[in-house]
Amino acid sequence: MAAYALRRLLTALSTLLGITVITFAVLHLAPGDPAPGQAVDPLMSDPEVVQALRDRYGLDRPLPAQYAGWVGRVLRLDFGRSLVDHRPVRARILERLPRTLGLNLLALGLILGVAVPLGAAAAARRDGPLDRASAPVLYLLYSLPSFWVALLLQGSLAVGLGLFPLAGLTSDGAAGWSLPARAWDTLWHAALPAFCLAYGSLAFFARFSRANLLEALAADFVRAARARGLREGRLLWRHALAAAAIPFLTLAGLMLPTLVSGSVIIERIFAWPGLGSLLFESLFTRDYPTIMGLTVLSSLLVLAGTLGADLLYLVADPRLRRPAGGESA
Amino acid sequence: MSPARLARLGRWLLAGLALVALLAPLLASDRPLLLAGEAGLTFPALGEVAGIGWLLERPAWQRRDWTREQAGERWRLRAPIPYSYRQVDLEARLEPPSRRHLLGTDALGRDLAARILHGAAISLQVGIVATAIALAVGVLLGALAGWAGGAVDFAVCRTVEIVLCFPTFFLILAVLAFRPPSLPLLFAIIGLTRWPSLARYTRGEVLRLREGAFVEAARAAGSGPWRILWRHVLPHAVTPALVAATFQLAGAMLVEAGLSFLGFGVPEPLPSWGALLSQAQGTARWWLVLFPGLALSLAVAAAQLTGEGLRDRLDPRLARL
Repeated sequence: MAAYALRRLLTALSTLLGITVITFAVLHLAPGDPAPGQAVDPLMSDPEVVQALRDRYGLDRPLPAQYAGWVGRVLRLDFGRSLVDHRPVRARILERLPRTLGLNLLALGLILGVAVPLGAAAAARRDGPLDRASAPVLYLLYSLPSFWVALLLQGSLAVGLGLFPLAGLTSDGAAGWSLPARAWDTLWHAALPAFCLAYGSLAFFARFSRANLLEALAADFVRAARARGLREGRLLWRHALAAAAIPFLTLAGLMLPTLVSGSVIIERIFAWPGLGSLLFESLFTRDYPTIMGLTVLSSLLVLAGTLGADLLYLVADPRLRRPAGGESA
Repeated sequence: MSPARLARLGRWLLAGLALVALLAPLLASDRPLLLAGEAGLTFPALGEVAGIGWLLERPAWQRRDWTREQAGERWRLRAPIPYSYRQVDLEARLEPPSRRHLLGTDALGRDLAARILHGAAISLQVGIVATAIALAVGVLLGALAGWAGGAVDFAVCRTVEIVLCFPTFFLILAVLAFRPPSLPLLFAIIGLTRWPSLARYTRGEVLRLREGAFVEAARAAGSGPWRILWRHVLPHAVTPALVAATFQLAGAMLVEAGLSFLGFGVPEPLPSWGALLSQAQGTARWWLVLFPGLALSLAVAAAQLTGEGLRDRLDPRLARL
């Protein structure tokens, strides 16, 4: 068990190393020096100022040395200061992190909470009415681009019918409300963005869980359990679902990058002030330190999620908990 | 509908889309397709079709003096949609769909139907070239990893994991922030972030096939290892990657649309579907939101359905996904 966890941890570390290498390479795609303000600041025409900046940022050192210095700072989560407001990038990211994390967790909850029961119900009555009706709908959902659906929902439900707020995090004047009222208000604002983030993966996951449960239901141990007289409901929810848990976890881990990527567009459409919006603003202001910080941090988040899924395997699959030599998944 | 019929529908849609993309300069053009004038018959619209410049070496065909005022015109054959994608008409801004403008006009009075047709060319072009790059890189690295094993295999597998772990959209946007947008850059950057799963499939197949009797036979017949890989193993091993690439086509088109929607994709005035949706956002006119999105969804669904059909046919083992 410890060996398995250690192995996954080491893999994650090597992945982390690769992420920093790629991000560092992207950083050096910047034309000329990444010394800030070079294009706009008239001071930069003074060679002494340029040299001072080069010394300050270590741009005269060889690339490996620069990389080592940069990684050292990144490990301390020190991404420098924003070129826009000169606040530390870390603080700018941290204040927005909970909003994106919350939105993504809401989406993930929506995906798992709807897709697994739906897939299970469809698998339990294969070719039944629900199975037949849900297949084309799920298929359709999977093909619709999320930002188009976001625009349509915004235009119809928010602007047309006024059922949901158009955009933003809170209503005007919400600061003075009671805590439950404020929480409900934010949740209400998050409903449309979370749905737009979720529905595509939800459709995919529902089809995926249906297929996996069908396979599990056809397995010998389920037939044996049925022969012992277990009820169908318990068979499905207890035995088949447990057997299908590993692929579910794998897929949920793999879905994270998609979710995080998707939040750039969705957050922008719904003016959700999270990391995606921050990235978008930083791209337009060429705020390099913030862009690099966000790129590293978002991949760190995804890495953490994948690692979490890996470790949850231990819960889902008792075979992994055996000492070495056991069958590995 | 049965899966097989859906797949056929997808193939037809995709083929239709490709045809529309190829013929867009003839389907929607402010120039006449045929113009009979003093100089004889000319083909003014043909000048806009990419890749057939060599056809136009006959000077008479190249003539572009096709306006009404030109003397001696006898008759002309207009394009089905007689507007180009960049023809601004400030008198006809934000017109709803009508007989004159089938799908309406945008905020600059440009014909939406013409822009969507030309957008098909952009979308498909980015999708196909990016997927081809991803396929080339993925198959090459995957085959190398599976065949060589050892350190090469380790390096490729780690790289695959790293790239899969990136929220690639963040990475792409970061690169686009540092470099001016252009079509070749989009091809490269979308392609280079989409190869890992293709490499995984190919590596798995090569690993499975390398112990096969036919490999042993080829070795016994004196073939070198690289010749065996190229001639005997790879033709069998690319099937899953090819199937996956069809799905990647849909994904690449979505990424391009998303980038263009954010304003980091295809540069103006090229009418990408994502850019059309982005321009629609501020105007709140239903036709500007509805039609480009429908076109994009249809294209994505066509690629998906084609992929499912291919998979069911070529690789039933994967069919459960």
